[in-house]
Amino acid sequence: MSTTQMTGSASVAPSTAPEGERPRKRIALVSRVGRYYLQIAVFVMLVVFCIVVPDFGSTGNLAAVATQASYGGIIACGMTLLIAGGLFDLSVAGVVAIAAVITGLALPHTSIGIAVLIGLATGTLLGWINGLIITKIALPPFIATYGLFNIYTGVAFIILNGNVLTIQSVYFNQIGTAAVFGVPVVFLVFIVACFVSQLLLNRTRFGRRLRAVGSSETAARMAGIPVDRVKIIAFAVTGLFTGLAAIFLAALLSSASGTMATGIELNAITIAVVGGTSLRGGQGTLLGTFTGAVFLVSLNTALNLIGVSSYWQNVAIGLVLVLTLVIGALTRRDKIRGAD
Amino acid sequence: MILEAVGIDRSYPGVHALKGVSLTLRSGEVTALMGENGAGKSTLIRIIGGLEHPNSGTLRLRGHDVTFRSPSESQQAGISVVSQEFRLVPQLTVAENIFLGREIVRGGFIRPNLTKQRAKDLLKELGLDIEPTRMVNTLSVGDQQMVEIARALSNDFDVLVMDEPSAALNRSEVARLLELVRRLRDRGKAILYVSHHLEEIFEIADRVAVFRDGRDVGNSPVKDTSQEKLVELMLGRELQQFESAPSSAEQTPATDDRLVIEDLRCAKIVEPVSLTVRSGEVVGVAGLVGSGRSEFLESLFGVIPSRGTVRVKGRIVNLSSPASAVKAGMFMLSEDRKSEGILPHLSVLENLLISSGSPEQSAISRRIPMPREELGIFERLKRELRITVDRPGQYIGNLSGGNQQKVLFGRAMLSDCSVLLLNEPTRGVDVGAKVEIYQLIGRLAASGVAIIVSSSDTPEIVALTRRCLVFQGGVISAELTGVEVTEDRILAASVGTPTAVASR
Amino acid sequence: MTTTSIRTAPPSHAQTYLRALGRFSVLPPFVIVAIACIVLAPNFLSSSNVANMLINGSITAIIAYGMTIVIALRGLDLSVGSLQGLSACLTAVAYSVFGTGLGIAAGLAIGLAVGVVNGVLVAYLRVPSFVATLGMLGILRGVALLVTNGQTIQGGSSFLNYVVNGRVVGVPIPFLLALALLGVWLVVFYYTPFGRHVVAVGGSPEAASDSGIRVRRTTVIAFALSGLSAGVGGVLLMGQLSNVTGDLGTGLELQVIAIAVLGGTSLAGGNGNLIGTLVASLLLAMIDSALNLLNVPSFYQYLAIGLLLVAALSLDSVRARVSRRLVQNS
Repeated sequence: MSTTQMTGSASVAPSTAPEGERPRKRIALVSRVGRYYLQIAVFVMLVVFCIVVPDFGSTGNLAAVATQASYGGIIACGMTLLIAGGLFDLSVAGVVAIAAVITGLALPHTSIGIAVLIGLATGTLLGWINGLIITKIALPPFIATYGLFNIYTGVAFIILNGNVLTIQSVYFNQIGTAAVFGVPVVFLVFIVACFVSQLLLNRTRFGRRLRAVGSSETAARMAGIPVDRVKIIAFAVTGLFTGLAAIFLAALLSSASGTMATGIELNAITIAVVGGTSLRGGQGTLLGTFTGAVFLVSLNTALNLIGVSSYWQNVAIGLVLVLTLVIGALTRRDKIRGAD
Repeated sequence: MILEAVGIDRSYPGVHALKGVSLTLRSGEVTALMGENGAGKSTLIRIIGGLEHPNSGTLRLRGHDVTFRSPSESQQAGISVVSQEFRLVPQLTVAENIFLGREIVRGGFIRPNLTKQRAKDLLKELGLDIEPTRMVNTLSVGDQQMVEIARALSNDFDVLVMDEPSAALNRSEVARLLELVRRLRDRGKAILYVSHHLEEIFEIADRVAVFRDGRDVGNSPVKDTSQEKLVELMLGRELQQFESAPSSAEQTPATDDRLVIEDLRCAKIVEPVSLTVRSGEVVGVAGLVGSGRSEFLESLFGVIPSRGTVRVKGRIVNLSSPASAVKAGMFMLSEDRKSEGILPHLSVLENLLISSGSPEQSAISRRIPMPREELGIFERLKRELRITVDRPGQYIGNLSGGNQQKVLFGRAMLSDCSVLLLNEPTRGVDVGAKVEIYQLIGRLAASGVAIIVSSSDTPEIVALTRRCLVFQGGVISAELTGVEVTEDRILAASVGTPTAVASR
Repeated sequence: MTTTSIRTAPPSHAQTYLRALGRFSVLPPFVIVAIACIVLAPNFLSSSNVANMLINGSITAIIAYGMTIVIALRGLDLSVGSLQGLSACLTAVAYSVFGTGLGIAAGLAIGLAVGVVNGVLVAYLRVPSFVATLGMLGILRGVALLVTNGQTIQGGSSFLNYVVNGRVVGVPIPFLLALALLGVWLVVFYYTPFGRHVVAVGGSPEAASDSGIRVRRTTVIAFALSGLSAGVGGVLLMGQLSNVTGDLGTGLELQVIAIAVLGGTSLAGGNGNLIGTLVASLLLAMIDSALNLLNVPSFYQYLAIGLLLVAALSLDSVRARVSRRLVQNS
């Protein structure tokens, strides 16, 4: 069976996005379980961790897991949109650096609100530039965004002259640790980002066009879709999410620097792929991205708590990624007729 | 007799492609195979080449019954097939392509000089002066076709099957090709030569077989037949110099000039084309593969670069991209539905609505579609177009070809186009859906849409249009109107027989 | 203008020129950067600096050769950075236990083994190479850190040290090795069925399988060779540094892909420019060392590499567009 995972809310309301094959009544329950197998597995895993791993279930630890999952997760929302459109952005670590640095530099001169807006605008602008370069000069996204990553990182360093910018604003830094009823604000923002992306991808004309471009660029062009504009918007939205992550990260670290988010691009791609978004393009699952982010961080934290060397965490995440792909390949969940 | 096909029967869901055909190939003889598109020629070739298997009937090679389970089995038995599509690697040289997969090696290393020499010899045999070290992507289409043939010749074979080998060739290249075929025949090879070009067939073939609707309707020595007789066999009735127009042909009401094309040309169209299509009119575009027929539509829609002026409702259309063409009120359904039409990851409903959005809608409702509203549109079009689909959320790839095409027609209707370009609108569509699509085209025209239909299926052009351009070699060889739009005239003008000259 | 002239016209001079420019697009930046470095950086041409540059550039180039082949096959190998680190660590560990020979063997063997696993994931399980090797990137980095337990390991293989830092007629041995391997790769790429099959699979997978090429086998071999190259790079790195840590080679994978692309290998598959790869590796090593000599903060490297990459790609895109227009207008 082929699945396109939706968030719970979307499967209740009549959705216009593809649902995959609906099975016959008798196996409907089994199939529903199969469709949400990742969500169920992660939930079971969390419960087991809470029982078995000492301190895992403590409020403090759960809040830490939620916080940790959010930075990569927010960026992974944008990455999921891009992958659904057959695109890629390896520059996000550089965008985080510049957005955080500019926010940090703006803070002493203006209110926190304005500084945050400046940070978001910076992220969006850089994403828009990425999109412009890739569509108008027609560069392959993979290598071009890697080049842009280097440029952005270099520029962030140059602005700070190689130093780390310490952010003095106590109120700003509180954003990083703030919580509402014990739930970290950054986690709430992550959830909102997932919802917004989900709606954007599956409920708007833009999202439909983006998936069309990712599904078959030639066919999308023939259908009269302004392909370049759709791609540029997707990059700009990813830039906005990246700016959002940058603000929370800067607040948490109380600092900004060129290498503050090193490796987050591959992390975000891993989250999206473990969540079930296929690199072949044409579709993306934000519920999966959410689950993927929580999954990877709680696995790491649990390993940490039971005293496994942190080096094993690399191995574990890599294995999870490879296993997800192998399971996907063996069950051929991503098989869609007419594609490939 | 070397290869014999006896009572071959093959059917697909919805299509009975071959209804017990028989064909015999003899060594030292060229057998030509003719027939309109969909007559079953390609299916038979695929069966001989081991790409498909007959439901019943037998292949007999040198007197023994054989079954080919794969292309390589057919090859090993001494059959070489030159297919219609190119199977070359653009980044490799001519010589490397010829010996791809069967490299000439010693001690594990390719022998470049020997490879070059053998390739050169093969090309020389073809009368070609292509440098074997040239990259294939620097060759013209015609030369690439020659390399493809050279590749088939590098195999040791007794039977050579050529599927429309001259489609992409110009006159002098065709002459070279025929010379080669003649030489191979004289060496005792059995050759099956599929072509639409009557001239070639009379020049090269010893025997000619004609297929129609999956049956072999004629097989005789070429000297016992005539061009007129072959066309009659393909059509299944007598060739009439002046055939009355189909009864459905009513007088088109004189309305506005919806689409005005002035001096349009592109790489494949040599002489600039001018054409005016009125609102509600259906104009046909006929011609063989490679005649410039498809390129005409593609340049109109901004798919390939072109020069010229195109006006829709009096306003000049920017020909830079399909998006701007759609904005100007045009829409095109491509001949390649699989890769240029359907969006496989999207649902049937989304495929239907992807280009929709009329200017009357508010900016918000255009950008954020309402599921209920869209379901309403889906249900309406599903009924109107009689699309067989279980649920709106189904992937479009799971529908039959005919239903996919109906969805794409719905897409065009929802785009609110005033000019519709159709390239092979019924390719890969079963008979029932075909009739419905014809009715649909009629309804669209009646509602005022200007339609251009390009098709290799001549009866289709005759059934749908009262005005028809025929392309041959990048030039318009005939413009037929009213009673002149007949299968024989179109066929004659596209293959370039004397009849075409007579009828002009 | 007739159809005949379109079809039989040989490529015009402008087209030939543009094509040649495309093939050697890395040379102009190389020459410009070289001249700038010689003029601006003091002691740039000193023997120790040149040797250092050549050693660094050669080790990267050896890994980048493998990547070039994988890219020609229309794949990517993101595991090479971690794999180089792991190979260096294993070499160091095995050396201290079993001696030089087995040390080197261990480094090479792990490279080959990981490469085969990558190839099987891509060819038989049909996992996109990007994510398959991304998974391996994490796994191998973790294993490398586990092997060294996060410590610095004294490799101290005097033999390897001697080889990597030694010279023959004044030329550093790693550079000679890089040249020799370039020769081997060129022969493999252009004069073995395998090499031609790589181009066929990357350029037109349908044509490749129709021609009876065993696509999956070709894929596994290509990835295996890329892994082996990373293994060689690891052994050499261990010889160069003599003490190793588990985080060696971090980020190298993307750098190596950038090198291959700078050298003129297209990510679209179907071509591989091995000579360009070597030149691009030396180009990056040159920039590295010049910035060092000029006492420019190391972070300017990011900017330099980024600008170089985007500029080179843009030029190439413009060149491709112009040459396409020439074809259409002829």
